Amino acid sequence: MFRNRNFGYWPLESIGEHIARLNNEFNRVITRGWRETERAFPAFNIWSNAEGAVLAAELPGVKVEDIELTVSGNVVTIKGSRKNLLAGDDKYVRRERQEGEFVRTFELPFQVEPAKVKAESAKGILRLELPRAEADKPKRIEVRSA
Amino acid sequence: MDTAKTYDMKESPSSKEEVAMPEGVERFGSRKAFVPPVDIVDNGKQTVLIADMPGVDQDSIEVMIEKNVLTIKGKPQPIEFQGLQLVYSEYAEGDFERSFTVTEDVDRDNITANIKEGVLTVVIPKARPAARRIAVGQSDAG
Repeated sequence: MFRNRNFGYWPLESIGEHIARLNNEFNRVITRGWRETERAFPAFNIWSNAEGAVLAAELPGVKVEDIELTVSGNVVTIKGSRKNLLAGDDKYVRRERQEGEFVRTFELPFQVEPAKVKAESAKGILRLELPRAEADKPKRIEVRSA
Repeated sequence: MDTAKTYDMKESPSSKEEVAMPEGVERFGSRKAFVPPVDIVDNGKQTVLIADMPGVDQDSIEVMIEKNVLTIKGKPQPIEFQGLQLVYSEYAEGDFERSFTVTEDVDRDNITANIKEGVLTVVIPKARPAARRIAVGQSDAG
């Protein structure tokens, strides 16, 4: 919709609003064992510029190998689960940490280059690097006077 | 109008619970402090405290026991990406802080703690209920 409204300049405000709006529509959490379903889990922060976006999520205890990441055009889906396992005699005295399966979907305002997507996690924070597809990047067209 | 709005993580609708301060007391410094969610598991021999502290590692965690209060504190490094701007935020960054009162039957000297993938595990063994028998002497000769 707002693509190429300005050549070479990507309106950041629109990206934020765009993501926030779509997030409300798309995002769902498979509720199993969640006590507070209104909270999106995991919580995401998104950084962006003309070259792409970086998504970070707080996912303590979840390894990057346990995340299923799907990129299709401009839609990114992050799927996974967190299970808190107990040994035989262990009993919960208090239970606050969220567990269960989760799915989050974000539609970005640009096409993603799937081959260049990077996913890593450190200290319980998942980080996804989603570079913008080369073909999707705005090109400056030289204007010559006749 | 395409004026780029700057997002401030401090204003983000955080999914995390902030540390409550006593009335009239304000937090020193600009960073927020959050209460990490915990599971407490007991198997009769030991109590295990598991806390979610994303972004915290061995160098930024502090576990302390003073009298009968166990305190966990974490100070994660803020995340920044060069040349990128925050455009959407669901969680705020900040420190983690929480205290627990432990019962008397705790073996304080053998508490161990470990942090892995942003999950802190504190193992608190129970003191053996060795009802120590106190030898009673006899002093009256005869």
